[in-house]
Amino acid sequence: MRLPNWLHKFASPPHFYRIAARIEPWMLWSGLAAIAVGAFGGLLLAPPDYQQGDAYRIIYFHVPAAYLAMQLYALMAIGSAIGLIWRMKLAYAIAAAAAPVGLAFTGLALATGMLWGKPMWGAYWSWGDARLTSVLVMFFLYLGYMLLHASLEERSTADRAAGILAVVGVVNLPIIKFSVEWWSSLHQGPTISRLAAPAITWDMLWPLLVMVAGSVLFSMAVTLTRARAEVLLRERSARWVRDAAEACA
Amino acid sequence: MRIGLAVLRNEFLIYFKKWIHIIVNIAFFIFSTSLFSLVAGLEQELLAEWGAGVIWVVALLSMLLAMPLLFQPDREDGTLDLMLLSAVDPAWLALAKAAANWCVFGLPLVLLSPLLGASYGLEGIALLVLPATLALGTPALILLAAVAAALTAGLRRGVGLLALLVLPLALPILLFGVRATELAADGFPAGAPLMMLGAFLLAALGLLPWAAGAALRATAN
Repeated sequence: MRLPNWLHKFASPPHFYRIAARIEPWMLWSGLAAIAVGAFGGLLLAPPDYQQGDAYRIIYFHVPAAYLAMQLYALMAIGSAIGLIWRMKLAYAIAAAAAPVGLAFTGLALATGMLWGKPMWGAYWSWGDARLTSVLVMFFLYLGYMLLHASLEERSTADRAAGILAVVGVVNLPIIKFSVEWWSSLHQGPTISRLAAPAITWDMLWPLLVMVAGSVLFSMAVTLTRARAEVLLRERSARWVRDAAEACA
Repeated sequence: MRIGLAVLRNEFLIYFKKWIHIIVNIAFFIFSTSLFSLVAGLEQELLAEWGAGVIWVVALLSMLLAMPLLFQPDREDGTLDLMLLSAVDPAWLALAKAAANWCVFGLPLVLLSPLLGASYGLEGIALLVLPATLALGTPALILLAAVAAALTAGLRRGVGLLALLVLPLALPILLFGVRATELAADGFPAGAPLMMLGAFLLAALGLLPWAAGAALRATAN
């Protein structure tokens, strides 16, 4: 199977660099604005929960962080797979750029989850819980990816080796997703599902959706910035980079 | 396939020349498991409760200890590069090397585990279930570690990173292995976690040699 031509054109480093630089500020500012609106709606406008009171409001940070932790892992793994199969260098650069962002969101999801768990379950952490454990595994997979990438000196070797690790680690994604359904768990079941009506009132739901959308835009903007830096680093001896640097100077 | 068997035979010859590694591995396993009971000075019931967990964790660690032997020597003297240049599928190569490594470093742990289990006060059927969990779980662990060993083969002192890559993915195997033994010790049927371990092993046999082969190619000089 071959990749379509337009994708190859898009994936040429100078082209990607220009396009990314153009859409990045839009994503960043609209994302930050959505996060501000979502946080205002979630923390001040939404009604308190009948069981959890105001403590449930951490959901407005926990859910976007957990969602992005998984999405960015998927991005990293898909980028690595495209790199391994079609030898596309840009895909590797995007995978390497996504890893620290994903690690940060995984850490945020774990931290907010622990803060939420203390008042609700009476404990910050439970080792018997499959959802918590599988997310911790993802945290270490991100860490392993970054450490392996950093310790192999030649960049192309590092890209391929860390890419294989990312692809192998994909088995963990369905485990995270379905862990609350497969095992009895402290973690509550899914609130929002694509197929069923959400188990949450609209007043609470809209800030969450705005928050998720804003976080996606924000993380994409950050990933693009990092990917552009990766591209510059990798292409530093290429002519277009020198031309661009001279144009700046 | 035939070349895989030849590699297997060759690996055995090399391992038996380095017999000291095998002894070290077994001694590490026995001594580390006894360390837990020595320092804790636990009561007999507590020991029986902890036995399966301690034996499993130490088995995992002692196998990781032997993992640099899997590809590192062959990478350093260039044998691996020659093998990769030949027509052999690197997946077969990885599978044969992992199989030899398991026979030398994994199998002794399986055979010794009832003894150590008994020293921890495990009784009856649990003494059969514990080696069964190790027999199903350790080959899957070796295959998992083979991928990580292939990824880190080019690194000097890569064993720490290797462990960091293997441990998160090894978690389910460890959990189900300990769970089965605990169930058996408490007099419950242990079939379900044993079958999970078997499923892990089959999945690992089907997928991981291929990943390890790709990793060998990726990190070749």
